[in-house]
Order: sequence, then C-alpha cells, then structure tokens
Amino acid sequence: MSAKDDETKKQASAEGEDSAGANAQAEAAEGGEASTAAEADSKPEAAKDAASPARAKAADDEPTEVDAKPRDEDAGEGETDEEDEKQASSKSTPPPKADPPKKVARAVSERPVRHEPKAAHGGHDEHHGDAHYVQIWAILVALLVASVVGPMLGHPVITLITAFGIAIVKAYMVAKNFMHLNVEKKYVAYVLLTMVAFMFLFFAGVAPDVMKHKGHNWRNEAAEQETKRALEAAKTSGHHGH
Amino acid sequence: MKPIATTRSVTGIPTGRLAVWWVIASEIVIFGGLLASYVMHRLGHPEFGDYAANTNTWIGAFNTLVLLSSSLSAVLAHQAATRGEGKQAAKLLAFTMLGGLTFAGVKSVEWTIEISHGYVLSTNAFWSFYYTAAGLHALHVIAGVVLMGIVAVDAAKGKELQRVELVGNYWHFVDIVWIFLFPLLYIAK
Repeated sequence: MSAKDDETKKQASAEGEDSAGANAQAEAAEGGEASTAAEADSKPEAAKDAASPARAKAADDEPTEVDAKPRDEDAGEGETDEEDEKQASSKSTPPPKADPPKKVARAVSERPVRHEPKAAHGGHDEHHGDAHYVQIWAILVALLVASVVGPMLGHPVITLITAFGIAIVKAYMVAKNFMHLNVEKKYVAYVLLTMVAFMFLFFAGVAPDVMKHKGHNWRNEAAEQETKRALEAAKTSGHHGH
Repeated sequence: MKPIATTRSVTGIPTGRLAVWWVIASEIVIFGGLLASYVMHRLGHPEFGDYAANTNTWIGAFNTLVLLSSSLSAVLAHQAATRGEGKQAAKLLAFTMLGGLTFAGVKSVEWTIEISHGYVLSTNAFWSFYYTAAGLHALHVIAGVVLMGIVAVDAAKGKELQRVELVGNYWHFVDIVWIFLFPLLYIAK
C-alpha cells in the first residue's frame, strides 16, 4: 500500500466518523422524531420538545405529520432508508474497501440538504432562560408605571399615548415573549389578527350610529338628553372627566 | 388510549395547542366586541369620563401588577415543564393561581366598595359596561385558576406536562385583556 493510498483511507475513515454523528442526528430528526411526533404530547419526556417554544420554531423543519410527507416524497414513495442508501450508492462510485460508516456518510450527503432545527443547537430555549422572562416582566412593570403616571400630567395626547399606546406595546410584548407567538406557526398569528380585524370591522360599522346622536334623517333624543343631564349633574357635583 | 388532542398534529402544531389558539381567537371576538362597544360609547358620551372618575386607579394598577406577575410565573412554569421539571412547574403554577386569587379577591373588595357607594350594574351605561367587562374578565380569571389547579396536580406527578403551556397561553390572554381593560376603565377619565 502506498503512502498516498494510506492517506486517502485515513481521510475516508475520518469522514465516516464525522458523518456517523451527523447521521444519528439526521435519523433522530427524520425517522425517529417523525414516528414519535404524534406521541410527543402524551409523554412527559416528549413534552420537553412539544411544550417548547423552540420546538415550535423548529416546526417548519420538524417532522410533523404534514411536514414529514415532502421529505418522504424526496426519497420516493414507499422507499425505505435502505433503498435510499442503495440509490445514493449507485450514484457515486463506491471506494474499493467501503466500510459501513462511509456508506452511511454518502447516503446522508445525497439526501436533500435540510437545516438542523435551532433547538438542536441550543436555540430559543437556551437563549431565553428564566432571566429573559424576568427582564420582560420588569419592562412590563416599568411600562405599567408609565401608563399610570403619564395621565396624571393631564394632557390628553400624553394620556392617549401613555395609557393606550403603552397598552398596545404591553400586549405585544406578552403575546410575543410569554405566549411565544414569534416562534409559533405563522398561521396562528394570522388567525388571531383576523379576529382583531373583525373587531375593527364591527367598530367601523356600528360606531357612527353610537358616537353621533343625530344624522341627516335621524336623531337619538334619548342619548342627547342623557348626555346633557349627566354633564350638568357632573358640573353640580364637581366631577369632571378628561 | 390518549385523546386525539395529544396524539395528532396534522396542522403542524399539536392539536391541543391549536385548540387553545382557537379558544383564544374566539375570545378575541367576545372581548373585542365588548371593548369596541365600550370605546364607541365612551367617545360618543363625554359623561363616561365623569363616571370613570369613580373607579380607583391604584386598585386597577395593583391588579395589573398582580396579573403581569402571574403571567411571569406561568411562563416560568412552562419553561420548567420544557425541562421536564414537573414539580417545579406545579409550584410555579401554584404561584400563578395565587395571583389569580389575589386578583379576584381585590376585585371583590373593589366591587363591594363601589356597590356600597351606589354604583351598580343598572346605575348607567358606564357602570353596565364596567361590571359586564370586568365581570366577564373575572370569570375568565376564576376559570383559569381552576384549570391551572387541574394541570398543576398532573404536572406535580410529571404527567401531561404539555398542558402547562396550554393553560399558560390562556392565562397570558386573560392578562392581555386586562392590559386593555385597565386604561379603558380606570385611566381614561
């Protein structure tokens, strides 16, 4: 055996070892998790993944029943991993002394490239530890203080911004960080926003009749009288709204 | 045999979690309709500002702080469940329940004071909205506390840990509703 052949063999062996690990990950992500994804919620251990926001983030890559299909189709309908490996092996020239790890390595490399889910590399969960949530809570409390103090200044614009503007910011922060909507499937946010849109639609349709007490061909005398009576009563009692 | 909510995920997320999102979506319509009605009446009736002057901002702010803090413990419970620490998750859920009970307790004291001052559901449109919106929200808080108790019992045994996230999401939504109710009922005077 020449020195060159020896070097080539060493290189191939190293490649095999590296890819064995990658293959283990690929198997876990593909076959292993695909088969257990449906059971994920039923097991406490599996709940670690299922309940995790990182899991949701990775859901686009992760093998749910829906997501798993295209990957199966890549391999061909009804094909097994073994057949996939055979197919991959036939595409590339096998080395003269192909040991099993090398074969697996080629099979993995022939498969369509799929990015590892972030959670597998310490994604969302590890970045967002308990301290992160405490930090978000502290910001929310600071915003609460601002929303109480701001209106005390008595300026309508400041009241509007500090009370309602801050409410929107707080709600967004809770939805994003505590409900993990930022890492949830996007259609969930679309569903929720559609409901919010319904609210605005309702407002737009009804508000003109409620906010005004008279129009071209109508007059809400009861509302007019009640407003007039209430404001006079408030003047008498000394209460004044902003 | 496990229920379908925990054994299927045909939509890309576990069906149980999807169901909670649907509950929240329907709740948005319920509370959204109520809040939109209040806002249009508030804008059309300047006297609402005078009525709102009788609500106690500090009590409202305290209850907001309580709910924000309970949301923190709910999300920390979710994190503990993610790590597979059922007992810790149950403990944090108990804190969240304590927050819910504190909120309900403070609310009942507040209402007792207001009713003793003659402000009841039928006093005028503002108080009708006030008791309806705050009451509906308080019912959700009580429901959340009960649900969390059930989930916490299982979580303490290390069972059904995925439910910690589900009940947590519901609780955060209840928190968000209050975030909007607080300025509408207590600050816009």
